[in-house]
Amino acid sequence: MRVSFTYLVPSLLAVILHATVLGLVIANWSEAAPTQPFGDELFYIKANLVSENPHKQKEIQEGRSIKVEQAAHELTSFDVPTHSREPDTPIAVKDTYQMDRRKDFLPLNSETAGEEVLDPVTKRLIKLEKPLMILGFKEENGRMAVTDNEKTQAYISQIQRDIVQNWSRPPSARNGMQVQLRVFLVPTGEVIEVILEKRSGNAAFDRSAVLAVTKAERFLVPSDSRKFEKNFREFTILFRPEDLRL
Amino acid sequence: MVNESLSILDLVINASAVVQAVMAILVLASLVSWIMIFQRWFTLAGISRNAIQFENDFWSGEKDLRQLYFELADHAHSSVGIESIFSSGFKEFTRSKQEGLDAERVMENVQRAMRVALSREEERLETHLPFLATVGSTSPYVGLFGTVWGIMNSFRGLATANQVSLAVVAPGISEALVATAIGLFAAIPAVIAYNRFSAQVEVIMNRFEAFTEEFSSILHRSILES
Repeated sequence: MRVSFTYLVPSLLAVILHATVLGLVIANWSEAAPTQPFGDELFYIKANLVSENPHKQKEIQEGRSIKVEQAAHELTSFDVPTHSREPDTPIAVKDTYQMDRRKDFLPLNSETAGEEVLDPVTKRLIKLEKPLMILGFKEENGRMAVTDNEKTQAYISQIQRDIVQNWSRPPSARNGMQVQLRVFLVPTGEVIEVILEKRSGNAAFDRSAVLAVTKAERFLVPSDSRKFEKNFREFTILFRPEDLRL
Repeated sequence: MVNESLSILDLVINASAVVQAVMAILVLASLVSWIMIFQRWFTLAGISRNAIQFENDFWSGEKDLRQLYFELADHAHSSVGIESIFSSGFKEFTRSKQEGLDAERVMENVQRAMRVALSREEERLETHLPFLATVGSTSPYVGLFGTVWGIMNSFRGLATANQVSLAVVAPGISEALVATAIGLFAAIPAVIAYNRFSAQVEVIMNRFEAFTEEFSSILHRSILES
């Protein structure tokens, strides 16, 4: 009787101690686990179909890499201190950039037609830019400078334009179709692999999306390897035509 | 894509059988060693508290030796520690004196009886300490064995994989390292407890030996007086 008692209390204490330690370890494990370096959900490139203009394509191809370099440079050279920057300034900056881009998409007769002709295209472009901005800000973790983020945005929109240019939709494409690709790049910007993450259900549409990326072959990516690893090593693209009538 | 979060339970469940066996052994060792730790803790604290109290009673001079002896004999439980040394010494003293032996022989018998009681007490104090020492010294190696085995397996898996990446081996190594972690978790308290308890046992034994000497000199003086 006495022997059982002298061991009963220690046994209970030992079991309680082990249970507590195990509980603490399990409870705190998730914080100790390594986090994914790039957020899968946050980083999306939405490739909406904006404009098809075969005549202008060549000029865009030539001018584009210089343009983005310039744009990225322009965005960094803003010497407004970060703390005094208004939250809506990036959008304003974006808009000046938009003006540049809008010219690329001008129909050939736009010089004579004036502003009214441009409006539908411009609206669509701005609409397209909005989710990107939001996504970009979500990704920002407070410490990152705003200019860095904008630079990233410039690269993102350039990649997006490259893809859209190479995208020829099949006739069976419909509004609301959606295909999601995962693209893997090497630091020089070349595409090494494209994976279909979510199919639309229409094989021809899926194929056209994959082809749009593979045809682009090479994207302009940041030369800073840290930024490249963070956002451009692999990313997700969502293809969704929204301008179709059907 | 291996991007599911690896919880510690997943790590344990997905480990190979050998690693799991190692983990089970180590958890058991840790559990038992903690039972021993708590048991020793209470026992040693009780014995040294008891010794202090008894020595206070003994040296206060309020009761004579015979009175103390009968008080201890009246206790329901068997006397432990310093009390049992005292009772066995005094019992032998009265018995030898009744037999009419001379002072030298009486003292010899008394000292022998107390030495026996002392070694019995030492044995009682040191129970479970070898177990703690064993757990403390071997469980890191047992854990290491589990880890080496797990890493061996995960590298063997790497040999057959055609696309080699860190993600292929990392979960296996992580699993395997859990075994070392558990081994250390078992070993560190056991080593600390072993060192602490053996120091404590030594202190208590010194106290007992000092008491034995003092008690035998008191008995010697009383036999010479009578």
